[in-house]
Amino acid sequence: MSQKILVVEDDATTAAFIARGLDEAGFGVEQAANGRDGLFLASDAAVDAIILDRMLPGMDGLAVLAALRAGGITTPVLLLSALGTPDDRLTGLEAGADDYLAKPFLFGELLARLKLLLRRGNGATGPVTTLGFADLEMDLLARRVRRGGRLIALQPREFRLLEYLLRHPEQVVTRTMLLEGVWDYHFDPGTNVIDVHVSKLRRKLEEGGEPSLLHTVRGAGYRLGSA
Amino acid sequence: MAALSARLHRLLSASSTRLVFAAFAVQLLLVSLAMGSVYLAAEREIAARDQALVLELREDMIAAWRAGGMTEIAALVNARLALSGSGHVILLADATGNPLAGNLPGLPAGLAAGNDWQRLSLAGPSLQQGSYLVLLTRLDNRHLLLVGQAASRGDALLSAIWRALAASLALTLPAALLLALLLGRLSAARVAGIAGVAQAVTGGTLDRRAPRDDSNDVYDQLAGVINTMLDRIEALIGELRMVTDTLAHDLRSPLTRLRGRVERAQTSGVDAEALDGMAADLDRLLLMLTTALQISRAEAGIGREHFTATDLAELLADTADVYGPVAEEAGLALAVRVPEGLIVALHRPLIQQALGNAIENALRHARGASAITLSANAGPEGIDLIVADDGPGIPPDQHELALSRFGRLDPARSADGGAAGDAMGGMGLGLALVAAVARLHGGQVLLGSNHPGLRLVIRLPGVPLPTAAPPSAATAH
Repeated sequence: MSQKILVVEDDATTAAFIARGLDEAGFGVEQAANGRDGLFLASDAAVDAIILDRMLPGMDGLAVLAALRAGGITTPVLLLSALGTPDDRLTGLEAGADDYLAKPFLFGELLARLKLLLRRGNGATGPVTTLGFADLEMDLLARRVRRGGRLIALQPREFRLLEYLLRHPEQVVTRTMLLEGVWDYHFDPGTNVIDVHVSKLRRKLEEGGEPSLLHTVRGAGYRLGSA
Repeated sequence: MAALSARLHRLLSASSTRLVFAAFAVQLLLVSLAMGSVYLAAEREIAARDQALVLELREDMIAAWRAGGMTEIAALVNARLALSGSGHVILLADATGNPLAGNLPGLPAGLAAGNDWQRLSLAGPSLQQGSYLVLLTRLDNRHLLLVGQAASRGDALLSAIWRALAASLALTLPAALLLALLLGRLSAARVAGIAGVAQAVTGGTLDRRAPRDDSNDVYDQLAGVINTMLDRIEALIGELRMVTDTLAHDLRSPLTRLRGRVERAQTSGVDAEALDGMAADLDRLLLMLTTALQISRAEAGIGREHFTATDLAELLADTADVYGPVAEEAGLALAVRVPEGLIVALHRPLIQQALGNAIENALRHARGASAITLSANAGPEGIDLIVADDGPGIPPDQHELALSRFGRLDPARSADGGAAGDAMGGMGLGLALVAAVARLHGGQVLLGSNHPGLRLVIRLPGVPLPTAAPPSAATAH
């Protein structure tokens, strides 16, 4: 059964754009055009995640969020906002949002973040000591990485980057997700900071002539995958 | 008539007019007091002189009485009275008051002998009518002596003084009133001059300033303060105008390019490359707007509530970690030198961004540099976060320009001339944001020479927090 996403967004164009994208990605979509309906649907229906616009008529997005959290509803919420500064993000997260995305956004970014939220929701995994993907192995205790039998020497930052990618295999991770997840950076540095990091890591992973594992996803980011 | 009364009302209600009248009233009071005291002093002086005359006369009389008895004193009385215009009154009388010699027909009733001065109105055949100051003395059991002096001469003098005073008052008062009105007018005119400048500025003539006369009086000081305020307002408006102008100008080039790409796509079809170009232009536009917004918000002081205790060693190490590979790719080493345990309350994301911008500035502009060094230290003037390179540096006269919003330095300094792929290239917003973030923390940005190279210092005021403070809890994600 497909997962159901509630989209609370008053702008019809944006709402339709998100709904179509989610539908194409295989999700079931519920829609609400104002805060009150959104709160009603969120508390009633069994939704897996909520995409909530911050500025809504009737009832403000942050108020909806506060009401949800006060009612003990822990459904992951991704807050959308035209306010994109670090402070707005912090305010949103403090109000109980699980993630925050500034408008305008790329749908790829929204989808990647949404999938991350959904996975986090049901991923009650215990502490792991090893991570792996295809012929790539990472020993978190010894801080060693092997591909096939080949030992790959990584700098600490490359290790952290690869660890993040290995924890999200076959998922699209965007540049900003990497910045936030690996370095706790919450702004767009503007330059190709992340691209350089990734290409250095990719070079090391494929030094022995192995097939590519780290793919660039046009208009979105990167994906660790076998093809 | 109505116009006149309205004008009068306006005049009376004007605080300067009220002030003028109050000043005038005080002046009037002071002049009257001064004149009154002059009059009283003159009166006292004249009375004292009259009394001295009477006492002298009495002494002469008593001396004559003692020397030669009745004959001698009568002769003296007659001799003294023979002098015309002396103003004396003398009466030698027996115990019952019958006159024996002198110019008074009889002793006035109810007069006691002694040293008490009496003022009496007297008249007689050989005595001019008038007010007299008299003393009655008992010579022996059978003889009384009254001596006195006409007070009317003193009174005439006093009334002359009084007239003179009144006349001078009559002259001074209109002059004082005129002067007060004139002064009021003058001060009102100077205040009105300053108000006129304020009005002109409100009306859009931003470069008008209140005239100074360097007297340093209150009006001059007021003009000075107003001018300082107007300078600040003009600078702020100028900056705002520059931002909007430059923003409009800078937005124009990516928008024009985007327009061109769309047009090409409309005629010759869309390919992946065209879309990538459009996306890059849009990203550039969005980044410019976001940065401009962030600068405005930081300048407005928004975000102070999100300060967290942050370990600078950790912060700079993280920053170097993020930017290290980019620097390496540009052929520069990125080094960190920070003492352990330097913990400061700051807006972590914004400081990270400021440091990032400073590093990117160094990467972009420091042609021929070999290293960038991040460091921090606590000094008496505050806590310094330093980004230094060993490139060509910036001439001191261009430091301010470099920090102003959108300020662009000589493009020759830019290593890549602001290539299209570089979203912040040539935008000049980077350092302006650094300055705004520093100001948000109450600090400032200092540009200096690194001998060689540029040394950018973000100076935050205050002292480090105690090391016991928990390091910033990084937002878990």
